[in-house]
Amino acid sequence: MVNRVFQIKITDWVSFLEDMYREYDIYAPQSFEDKLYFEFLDKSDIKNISYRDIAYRTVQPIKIFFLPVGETVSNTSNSEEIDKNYKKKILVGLKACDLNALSILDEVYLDEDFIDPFYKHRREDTIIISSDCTDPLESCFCTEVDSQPYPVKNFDLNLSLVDNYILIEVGSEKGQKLIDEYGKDYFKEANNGLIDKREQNREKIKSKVEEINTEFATKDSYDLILKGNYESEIWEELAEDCVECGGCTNICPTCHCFILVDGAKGEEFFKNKYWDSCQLDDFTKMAAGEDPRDEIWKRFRNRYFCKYNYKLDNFNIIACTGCGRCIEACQGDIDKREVLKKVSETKKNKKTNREEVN
Amino acid sequence: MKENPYNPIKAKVDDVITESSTIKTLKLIPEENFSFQAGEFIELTVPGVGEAPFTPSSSPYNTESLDVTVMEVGRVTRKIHNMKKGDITGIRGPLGKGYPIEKFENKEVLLLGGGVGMAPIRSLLLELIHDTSRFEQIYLCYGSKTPSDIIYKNQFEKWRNVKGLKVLRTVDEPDENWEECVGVATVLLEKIDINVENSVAIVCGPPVMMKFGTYSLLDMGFKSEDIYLSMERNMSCGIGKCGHCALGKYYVCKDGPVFTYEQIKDIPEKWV
Repeated sequence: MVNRVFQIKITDWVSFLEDMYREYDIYAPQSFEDKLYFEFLDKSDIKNISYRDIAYRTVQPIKIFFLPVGETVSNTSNSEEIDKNYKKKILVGLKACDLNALSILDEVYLDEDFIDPFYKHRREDTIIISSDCTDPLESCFCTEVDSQPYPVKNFDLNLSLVDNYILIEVGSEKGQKLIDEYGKDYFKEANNGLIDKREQNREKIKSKVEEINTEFATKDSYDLILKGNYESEIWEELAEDCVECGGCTNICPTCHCFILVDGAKGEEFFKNKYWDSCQLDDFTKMAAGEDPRDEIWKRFRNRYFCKYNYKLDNFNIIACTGCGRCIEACQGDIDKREVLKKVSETKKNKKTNREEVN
Repeated sequence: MKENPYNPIKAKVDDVITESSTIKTLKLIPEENFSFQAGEFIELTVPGVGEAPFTPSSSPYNTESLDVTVMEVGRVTRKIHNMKKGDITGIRGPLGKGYPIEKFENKEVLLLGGGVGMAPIRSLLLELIHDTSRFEQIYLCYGSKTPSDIIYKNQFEKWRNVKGLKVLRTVDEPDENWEECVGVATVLLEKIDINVENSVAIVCGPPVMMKFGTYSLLDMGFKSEDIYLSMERNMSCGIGKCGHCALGKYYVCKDGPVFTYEQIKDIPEKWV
C-alpha cells in the first residue's frame, strides 16, 4: 500500500505542533556550533524550529529516548516500576539513519520471548516525526550500507520540505491518528508535482552521499567483505589506534549492550541497567577468568562482525545505518569506512574448524 | 511471558551442602511456582550484591526446591558460599535452552562431566534415570582433579545400582585409596563400548575438557550434531539483550547454553 502524503504550509505546521504541545513533550534538533542536538522544546521554541536547518542527523543517537544511559529495572520496595510521570513524547526531525536503528533495537528489546517493558512502554508512547536529510555530513555513509538519506520505515509522520510546503507522509496508524485528531482543514492531499519534486530532491541528496563516499566505495557489501576475514592478521594492525574509550558503541544508534548492577539502599534492593560496551576490557570475561576477547584487537574486530554479520544472520538486517557517528566520536581517528576498505583488500584466510586436532 | 524479566522471584536457602573445598550446593525453595528443564539455567541474585548464572543440579521432577551447585571463583560466588539456611536469594529464570531429551530416546546416552561441570549433568542424569527404559543405555563418565574434589560423593554409590546406567570415574591425581581410573576425563571414553551410530553425548566441564572431550568423541565416530555441549560465557541479563555472552552470532543465554557441536564448530573462540 502506498502511504498517504499531505501538503501543508510551514505556518500551519507550526500551529499543528503547538496544538499537540498540550499533550506531548516535544523534542527537536537545535543547532549549536554547526552541530544539531536534540533538545526539549518550550512552547515558544516551536515557531523557531527552522525546517531548513534540520538538514542532517543530530549528535545524539535515537536510542537515548528509548534506552536511558542508566535506569532501575527491578526494585524490591516498589512494585510500580514504570514511571508514571513519564509524558508522551514527540520527536521531530529524526533522519532515516536513526529510524533504521529502531529495527535492530526492536528485534532485541521487543523480542517476544522477553520483552523489555521499559523499552516497550517508551516506544509506544513516543511519536516519531522524521524528516528527509538535505545536507549530509562528511561522515555520512548510509548509501554504503544499502540505505538512503530519506525515511522509508519506522516513522509515524515524515516531513519533506518542498518549495514553501511541508509534505507529510503518513507512515503508521499512529501518525494517521495524530492527523485525524489535531489536523485541520489545512491538510490537503499532496499534489503529484510536489511529490515528484520530493523524489528528485531525494535522489540528489542520495548522489551527494555517494559522492562523499567515492574514496571509500567497496565492490562487495560489508558483510561479504568480512566473511572469511575473521582470522586475518590485519585486525591487530587496524586496531592499533583504538584507545578503548567505548565512544563508538555509546554513540551508535544500534548498539544495545548493557550491564546489570545490583545495589542496596537500606532494606531495599535494586537492579540498575547501564549502557556497556563490547570494546571495553573484561566485557566477556567469565567468572573463572577466561576471556574470549582478552585483547583490544579482538574486541575491535567484534564490533564489525556483530554489526555486519551476526545481526544479519539473526535479524536479516545489519546493525549499521551509516550515520557516521562512530567516525566523528573516535578518539583514535579511526574511520570505519577505511577499515572496511582495507579489509576488502586483504586476502581471505579461511581456516578449517578442526585445525587444532591432533 | 513474565511481565518484567529483570525481576527475580524470592527463594529461601533451605540447606547448604559442602561438596569440596571450593564447591557448595545450595538447596533453594522458591516462594513462587518454579520449574525448569534440565540444562536450562537461572540467574541467582544475592540481593544488593550481584547475580551469577547457574544451571540447577537437581532433578527437574522436583518442583518444590532446586539445588544450585556453586564453585567459589569471584565476588558473587564468595557471597553465595557465605549464605546460611534461611537467607533470601533471588532467582530469574528458567533461562535458555536445555537438553532436548526427547531426541535421546531409544539411544545410548553418554554423559561426560568434569569438575563442577557435573552440576548440569546431574540434573540431566536424574531426569534420565527417572525412567531408564526410555533409553538404550546410559553412561556417566566423570572426571575430577583429586578424589576430594569429587562432588555429589555419596550419590555415586546409589547411581552404580541403577539398572541401565554405567558409572565410570577418573581423577588426575589419585590418593592411596583411589581404585578407579587415573587420567583426564577423556580416558574414560576408551573404556566404554558404545554404538556411536545410535548414541548421543553430552559434555560439560572446564573449557579444556570440553575441547578434548569433543575431539575424542568425534574421533570415536560421533556425528557433530549428536554432541551436546553446555557452553559457558559471561551470561548476565539471560534474555538475549546485554551482549556479554556472545559466542559468534549466538547469545549463549538465549540460543544456548546447550548447543550441538554442529552449531558452534565454525566459531573460532568456541573453547574460550
